[in-house]
Amino acid sequence: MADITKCDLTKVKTDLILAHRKCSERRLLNSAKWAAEMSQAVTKEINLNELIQPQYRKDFCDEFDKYTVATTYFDLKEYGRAAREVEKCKSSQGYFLYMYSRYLADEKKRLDNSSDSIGPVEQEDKNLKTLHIELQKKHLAKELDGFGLYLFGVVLRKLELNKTAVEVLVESVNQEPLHWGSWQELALLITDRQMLNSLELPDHWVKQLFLANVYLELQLNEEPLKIYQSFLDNGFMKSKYIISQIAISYHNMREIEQAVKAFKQLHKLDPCRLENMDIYSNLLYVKEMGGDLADLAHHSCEIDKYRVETCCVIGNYYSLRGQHEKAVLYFQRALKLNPHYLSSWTLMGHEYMEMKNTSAAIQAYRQAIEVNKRDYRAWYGLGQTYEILKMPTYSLYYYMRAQQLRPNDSRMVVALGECYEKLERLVEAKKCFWKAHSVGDVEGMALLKLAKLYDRLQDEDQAASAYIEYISKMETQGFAKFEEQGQAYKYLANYYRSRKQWDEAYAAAQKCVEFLETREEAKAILKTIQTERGITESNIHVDMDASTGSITMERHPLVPSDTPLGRITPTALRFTP
Amino acid sequence: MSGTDLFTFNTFGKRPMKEQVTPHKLSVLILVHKYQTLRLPTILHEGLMDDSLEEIVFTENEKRDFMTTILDLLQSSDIELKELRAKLHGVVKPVVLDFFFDKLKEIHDDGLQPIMKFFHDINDLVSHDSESKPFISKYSVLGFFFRRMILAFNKLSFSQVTELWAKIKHYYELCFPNNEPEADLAKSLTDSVMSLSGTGGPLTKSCLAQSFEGLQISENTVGGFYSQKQAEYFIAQQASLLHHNESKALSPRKLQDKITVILKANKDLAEAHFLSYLNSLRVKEYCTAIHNLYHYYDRNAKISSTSTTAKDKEDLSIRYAALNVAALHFRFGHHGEAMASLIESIHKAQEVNDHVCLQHALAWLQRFGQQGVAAMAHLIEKSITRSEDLSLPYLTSLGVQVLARHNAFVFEKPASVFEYLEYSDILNCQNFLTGMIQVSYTQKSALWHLFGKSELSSMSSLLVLNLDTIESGVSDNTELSCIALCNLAEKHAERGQYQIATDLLNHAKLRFPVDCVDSHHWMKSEQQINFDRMLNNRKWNLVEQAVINLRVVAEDESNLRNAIYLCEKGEATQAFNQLQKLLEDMKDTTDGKELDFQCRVLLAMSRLYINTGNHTTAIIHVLDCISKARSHHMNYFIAIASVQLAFIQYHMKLPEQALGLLERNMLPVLTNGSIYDQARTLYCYARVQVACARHSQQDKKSALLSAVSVMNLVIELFKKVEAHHRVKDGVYYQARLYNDLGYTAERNKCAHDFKQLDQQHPTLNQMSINAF
Repeated sequence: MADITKCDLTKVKTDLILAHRKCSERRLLNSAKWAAEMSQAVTKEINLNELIQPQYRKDFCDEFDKYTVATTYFDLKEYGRAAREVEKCKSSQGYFLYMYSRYLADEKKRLDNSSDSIGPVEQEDKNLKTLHIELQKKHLAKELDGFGLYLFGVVLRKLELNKTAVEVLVESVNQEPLHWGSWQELALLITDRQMLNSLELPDHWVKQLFLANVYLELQLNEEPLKIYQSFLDNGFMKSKYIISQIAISYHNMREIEQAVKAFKQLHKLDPCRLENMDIYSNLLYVKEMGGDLADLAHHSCEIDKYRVETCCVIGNYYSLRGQHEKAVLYFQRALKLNPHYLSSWTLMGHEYMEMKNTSAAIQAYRQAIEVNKRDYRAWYGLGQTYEILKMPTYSLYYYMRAQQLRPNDSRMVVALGECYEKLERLVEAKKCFWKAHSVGDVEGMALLKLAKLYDRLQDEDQAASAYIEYISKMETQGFAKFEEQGQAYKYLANYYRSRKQWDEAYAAAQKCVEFLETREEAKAILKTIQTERGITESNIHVDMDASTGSITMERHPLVPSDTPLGRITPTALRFTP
Repeated sequence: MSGTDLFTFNTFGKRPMKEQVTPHKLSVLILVHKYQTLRLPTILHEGLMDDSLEEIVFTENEKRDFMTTILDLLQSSDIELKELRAKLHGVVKPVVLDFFFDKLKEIHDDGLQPIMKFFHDINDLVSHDSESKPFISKYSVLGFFFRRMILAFNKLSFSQVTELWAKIKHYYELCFPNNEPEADLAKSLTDSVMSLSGTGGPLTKSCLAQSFEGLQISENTVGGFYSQKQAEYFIAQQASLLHHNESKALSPRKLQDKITVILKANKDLAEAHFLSYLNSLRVKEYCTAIHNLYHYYDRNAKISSTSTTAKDKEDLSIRYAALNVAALHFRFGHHGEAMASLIESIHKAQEVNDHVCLQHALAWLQRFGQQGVAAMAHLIEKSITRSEDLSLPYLTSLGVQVLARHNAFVFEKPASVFEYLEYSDILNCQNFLTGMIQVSYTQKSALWHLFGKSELSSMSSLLVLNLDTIESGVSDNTELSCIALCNLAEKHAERGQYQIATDLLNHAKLRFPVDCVDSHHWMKSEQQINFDRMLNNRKWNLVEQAVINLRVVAEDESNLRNAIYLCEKGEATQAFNQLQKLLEDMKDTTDGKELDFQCRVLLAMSRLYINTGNHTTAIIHVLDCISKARSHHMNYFIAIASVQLAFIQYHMKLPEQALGLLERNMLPVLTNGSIYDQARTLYCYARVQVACARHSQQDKKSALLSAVSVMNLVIELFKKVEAHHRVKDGVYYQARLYNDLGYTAERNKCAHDFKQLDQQHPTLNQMSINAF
């Protein structure tokens, strides 16, 4: 039953409800929340009475008192105390709670201490290591259930033993396919598609959601959309999770309109939901929808002002208003709330750029890299900063790093290409633009730049074909820059004229007239075509008006206006955090 | 919101503390405190008043030892208690040690209270509040240290104090794991008493073991808890060592470990990245080097609000960043990249009219650019004048030296070249540029070698090694010393003193281990010396080995030597192909730096023609070589090429001309040439003399007699360089001479010698018979 279309929804809902109970028994709150939300989305009648009757095993019943006390302590965030209560428990719930509270107690202590620590703590991961050893013993004895394996996987990941972590997590999802936390942990460890295909995953409908999630991370945006759509069509009409994921995939695809629409829908469905609102605010920022952003900021602030997402939304709002100092303050606050919230550093870097304080921007980006070496946005930001400082050679290094991390992102390749172009290394630049075009050009600039480059290299045929492809692409996508398109037609007109392909030249010149900047030149070209044609083919008469007005362009000016760099500003470069 | 808050780059919005109380520092505090209280019983606290303490008197020597030890402890990085104990062992009186360990144990056992009290107590040592003078001057090294520590401690929040205590506990338990220090301590105390009481005490096994143990600790531990001050000191020290004497610095691996520790403790210490960059350069690790360099300059950027002065500073670092990247690329041989970065640096410098940076860039430009081009000379001259105006003596001196070198390659007279170097020497003297003085001597050594004065070259090399460069206890051990050593080794080998040459090379190996950056110099020299020696010895397989080994460090040189080897072995065609290729390559390079190499290729070619009996063609190459050498004032090459020409003339039955030529050119060869060259020249001279004398009967006898005596010398010289086949040659010729003279007995003796030599070293090919 791998496909959601073939699943029995009643069964799905029953499974979800049971999964929720299992998770909440073990105080895996996020997974429980996910299961509950998904279950809520499925509107099917089921016999609840049967389900609600719990069937507990004997060992659990023996330890019930201890377990109950521990859970209350746990809920009150007294993790150490909770762990003490269930120390000797044998039942799977009790044991898991014991290990889990120990893990959380350690995490909490570390987070609390990190703010006023003196120097490095020598045995930072001492507790993690003891946990690791104990869990490993259990694992070897095959005494861990799906949840225990999950915790083991988490500990392994923390200790950066990624390979083993993947194995353990795969085992975990095979045992408990409906525990979403395991899938999420697993998704974080997957670096490429090949690795994904090599995993032995259970044949379960959740797998589809997992795949979609991983594809999103890997920026393969078309596929998750398909999967999510099939879920939407098959009973999960109102699932907040799926709608939010769809919004994110639109955002990744830079389909801003669609993404905003999806987020609006999500917001309406659950006004108090703050998750992913930072991405929504990024979208609103890029679209410069100040009013909506203000509303969102206001709303989020009222719900919970000490949430990372809220800080991010407010930061974005201030940034849009041009109050960059305040924006920086809010991003800093986000970092204080959650030191792992990486994109805050990058966003801060963008703000400093707006404040024209390049060195501060460099520092912020560097911090981002220090926290996570694979943060390509920060590398890109650094490259851009140095490019603004007019140091293309220097920025090459950073762009290369960014491009290495995101080999299939055209923006990085285009940036690299432009640097090469500035350094007059045209062959490399050509390769870059070509690559940008072939990996699916996000900004639609690569072809144009390629064409201009061919023109500079005096490879006219290539230049012309690049222009043609550019124009056809613009026409199909339906948005364009007038100026650029005019230039393209002008080039084509001249190209055909020199080839004496009069009809094509004439058509191109005609289109050229439609654009304001090139109108006068186009008219001149038309005239020369007329006379030259008259000389070569004096006896053929052409009806001049035959082809005019037949083509109308649809125009959607969407791309923000040019910056000195001739491409989007660093602040407009918002990605999924 | 304040302006500074905006630019704090820390997750918690706080600047990290510069100074911290660490267990090690607490130990030092306790030590000093105990020492003071014992030394001056007047300040003894009531509780410590004890009869047993009265007799403690510190001699001046003990005081001095204690103080130097403390200073050492203050400046070095944190160490573990075990290591500290080993260090204090024998330096500090057992009583002090006793108290010291008691106090530590008290803190360890009783928790926070003793620490708090201790810091309260030591306040009295430095504070002024009592009428009497403080016991430690406020402004002394220790005073500063005490006050810094007290301040740092007072700043700690309660939870931080508990953290500190936990650290102290850990620190203490590492030394006394079973929480039972007494037994161990007693032993160490008796040991220390022993070493104090006697004159050094008997060297027992346990003593040795202990000192060894101490050493091992310092090797193994990755080193303590760095505060920023300590880290800065460490970085500065290591960087200076890397610059002056690499072997004294930590090994690359250990240094990298240390850097990792430092960075863990001080995330914001950008200098550590730079040290890491230097360390990577040492092991020629390109990727890490470039990452570190970029990282350093990113982090190094001065944070500022928009004030203009700070803005300048920020630009400054960017300019030098680009410059350093250029240098890095150049080091790894990426010339295009280097040039691009350099140009960028120049652009940035020009934007803000930073002449100092521009001069540095110009100096690099000279290095990157084509050597021996007129435009380059112009560039250097401009750079010199500008540097002088900006009072940058280092760059001026460097520029002058570069110009001297440049002139040496473009037909300038040696006198003018050395005039420039003298000017550089004056600058070096005036500005105390020790490094540049060494460079200057090395340069001179190379130039004398080029101009064919081997004695002067050796002397300059000796001067490089002889310079007093000791700075804060560390003498220089740079690439220059390695070059000097190699040069001397080669010169000795030329004189047949192979043993000394080997000793010199071994010394170089010791000072520059194989993994050292400069090791390729001695590798090259070693192989070249081996090659020459084995070629003379006719040990073909070893010669071949030397050629192969040489290829790793110097490809062109290896190719030339391969050709010579093939020629000697008699494989004329292959030798010819190799030489032909080298000649073709030479045509492409306009670089002046390989002048002597070019001459040697030409000579080798001509020798190949001589050996194959094609004298007319040989002349062309010899003449080519002479003209080249003459235009660049390379006296030795003029001389040796002329001698070779004379040899050709002799074979072409023009002995009179040959004699004239020889008499004119023998002197430089005999004064500066290698033993082998000298022998060859004299051999040739003897033959030419005899050939000239054949015409008149009267002179013949005297000519023959003098030739015999010359040949004695020749044979001796050939023997010295182990060239047995040439000895054989010489003996044969001497036999012929005796025969002509009619001295049968002597003739037979020579013939006998020849017979014996021929059995040992049979002639294998006919090419070597006519060899020069």
